[in-house]
Amino acid sequence: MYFYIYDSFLTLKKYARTLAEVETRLTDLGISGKIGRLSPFTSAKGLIRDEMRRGTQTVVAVGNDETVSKIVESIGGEMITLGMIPVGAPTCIAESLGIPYGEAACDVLSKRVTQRIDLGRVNGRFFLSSLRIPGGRVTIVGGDGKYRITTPADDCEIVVSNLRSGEMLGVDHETANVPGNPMDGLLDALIMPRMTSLLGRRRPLGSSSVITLKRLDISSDEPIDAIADGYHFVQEHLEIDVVPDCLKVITGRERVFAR
Amino acid sequence: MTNREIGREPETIISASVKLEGDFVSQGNVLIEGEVVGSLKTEKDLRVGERARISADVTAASAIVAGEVRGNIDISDRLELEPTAKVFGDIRTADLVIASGAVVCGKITMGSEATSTAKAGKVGRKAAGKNEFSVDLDEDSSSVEASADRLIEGDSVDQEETNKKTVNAFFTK
Repeated sequence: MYFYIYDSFLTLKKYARTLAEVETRLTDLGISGKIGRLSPFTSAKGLIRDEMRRGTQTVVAVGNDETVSKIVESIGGEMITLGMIPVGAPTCIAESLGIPYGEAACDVLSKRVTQRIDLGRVNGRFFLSSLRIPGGRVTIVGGDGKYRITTPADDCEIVVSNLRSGEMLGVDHETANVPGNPMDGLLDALIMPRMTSLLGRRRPLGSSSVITLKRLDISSDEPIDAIADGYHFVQEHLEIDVVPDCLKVITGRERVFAR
Repeated sequence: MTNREIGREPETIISASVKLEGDFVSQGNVLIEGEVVGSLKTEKDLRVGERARISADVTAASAIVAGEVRGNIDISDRLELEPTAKVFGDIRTADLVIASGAVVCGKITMGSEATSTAKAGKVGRKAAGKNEFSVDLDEDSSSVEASADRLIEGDSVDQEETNKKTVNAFFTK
């Protein structure tokens, strides 16, 4: 039994045709189901909780990365399978999972190839893709307090990544060759220099650092601006860890991991 | 230095301008371009870049050093010191390559059993069938400068009389 959650921005007229095509295709494939719509007064958590009581086993996020983030935050650790139909932008998470845009995603859904993947958790909130700290001098404590890493200055960005792709990081950043594997029980902490424009060409000010770990704490003298899968928040201290095999997700053949 | 230059993909990269303090343990390949203070241990390969500064005891399966290391180096397989390398500490490794221009200040213990014998407190044992040496330098002048015009020959000393052995330096350039 599928439960489709439409994000609030899909009420815009420009998405009407795409949604009509998606709904027709879902009906053709025999996997249509109940639709819930997010709004300023309707949270994903509330919708999913009600549907879980009715026996829903698959929740499909229809929307962009932020839609997925809202749903992951609600179903992390639950015995529910997550599917996606990317509509709108950005849809980097769906791309990393090998799910094509719009109507074509319905075919991936119907094939139902699932993977059990890790989730990141920051101060108790789950994230699927990455946690970004756009700037500021911070201290990273890893290895259960055995070592700490000091970032150079304000001119670098920190990304704690569970699932990542080149599109998320920006093509100009050179990092480790292997894309983030959400099935390895580890998070990748990337310390990336800011981009600079020289003669009209954007390039990083230096090379990036990559550290793989299971748990890390990030602290700073000032409150830390952070973005987890598009959700923006400010905290003075971030406790980040990985929860292995936490989410069952429907993936396509073009996924960037476990091919 | 790029990721491709170290041969295999590094799983951990400490880039220039990043400082790591404490006891760092990794199970994958490690590339250091920045500063490390404390101890550094990996079960796989280590690459120390030209601009890297390490003030730590280092343990790895194999290592290529082009920067500065202040601390003891314990390598179970092969250690390569590039022309820009500076090591201030004791080296214990199975296989050693020192390029012309590299600087070593400390004791070098070599041989396939070097690590195991050292752990047992028996340094400098000569293994049968293969040239294996250890180096005991005077504490006051414990420096080996491997340069093209200053070749350090290995002094062969009778194994049965003493365990103090010779320098065996391989020059790649």
